[in-house]
Amino acid sequence: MRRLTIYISILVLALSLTSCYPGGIEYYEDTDVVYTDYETEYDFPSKSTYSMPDNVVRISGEIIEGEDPEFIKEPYNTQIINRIAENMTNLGWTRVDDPADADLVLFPASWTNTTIYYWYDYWCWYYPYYCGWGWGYPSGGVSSYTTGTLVMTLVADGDDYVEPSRVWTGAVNGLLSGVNNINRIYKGIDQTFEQSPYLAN
Amino acid sequence: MKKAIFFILIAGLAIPGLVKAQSGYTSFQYQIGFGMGDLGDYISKTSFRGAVFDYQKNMTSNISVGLELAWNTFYEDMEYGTYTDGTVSLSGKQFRYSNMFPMLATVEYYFISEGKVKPYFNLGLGTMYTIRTTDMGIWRIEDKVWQFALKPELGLIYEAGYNTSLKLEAKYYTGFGSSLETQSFLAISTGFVFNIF
Repeated sequence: MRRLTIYISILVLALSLTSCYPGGIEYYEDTDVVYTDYETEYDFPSKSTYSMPDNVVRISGEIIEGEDPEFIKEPYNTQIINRIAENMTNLGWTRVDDPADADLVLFPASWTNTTIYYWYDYWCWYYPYYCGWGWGYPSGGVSSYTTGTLVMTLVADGDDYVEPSRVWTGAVNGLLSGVNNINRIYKGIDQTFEQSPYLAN
Repeated sequence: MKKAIFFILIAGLAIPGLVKAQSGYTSFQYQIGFGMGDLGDYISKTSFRGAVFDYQKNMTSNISVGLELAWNTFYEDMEYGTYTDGTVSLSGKQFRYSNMFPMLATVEYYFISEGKVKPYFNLGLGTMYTIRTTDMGIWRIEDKVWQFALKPELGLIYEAGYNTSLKLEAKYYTGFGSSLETQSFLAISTGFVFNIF
């Protein structure tokens, strides 16, 4: 009886080791991450104007040289552009139509990325009995997930630069749920500007 | 790591049989951990996921030697926050984990060697394997380190029956000497003791 109790206790210990990673992500929103970076040498407070195209470029990796880029679909395109403009206005920036007249140009772009992964039962190579035959032991599987990214880049040009230079980058990334939720994008855009107080004029 | 755990469990199965002719005990306990120092700063929540396997062989009536294998998981679901390093800022939710696996050789001294209640002092020396994991977005950063470990412990054994006793102990694990800062936690454990004759 004592030995049986010992063995049962060891089994309980073994089973408890499977819970080394409790909790974790429950909602798609839990995967949303916002990234920003900037050039410390650029004097943001001394600038006040920017220009921005009316379309968000969709980077697919399939564009042929000479062709126009793809843009994301409406209504998301206008919603995103308007939200970015609203945040820039709140920071004291004035949007102008001609990029030649602007201190900075803001380029918004987006892309999706699908990752496919597979796993297999490592006993399968040695003893095919475990490869879905016999007791129907699972032999592996395939799964995938897709993430979306919106990136905003502020580029400076002019007499101080040999070529246009990136001075600020803001990016929003998260797991796509299959349901178009503009509020997640709004929250991400707002956060990129909230954590960039140095942009304020 | 899974292979190491598997080996430890097999050793735990074998030891009671191997030392049948010797005197001592094995014990299995449930353990609660409280992170201290760098571990407490990283994860402030108490760990309610922990277990201890302990084997002691009597050398004299007051002293025994043995080994201890333990495990505790610390976990915290951090609120949405912004983390800045230089010019880079990153915002999101973090899920933090720290799995601690102390593996120690121990010496135990019984203040009272006869009677139903035996208070004791135990000192453990060995190693502690730590897996520190931070999940943010779809990314995971993981550090796996081995550290030199030390553990002072105070406890008592209550003889509940002929072959079985109950154990209650308080101990302080500390691991140091690696790329991670010193990892320490206070633990309280309780469980069953099975005497070996």
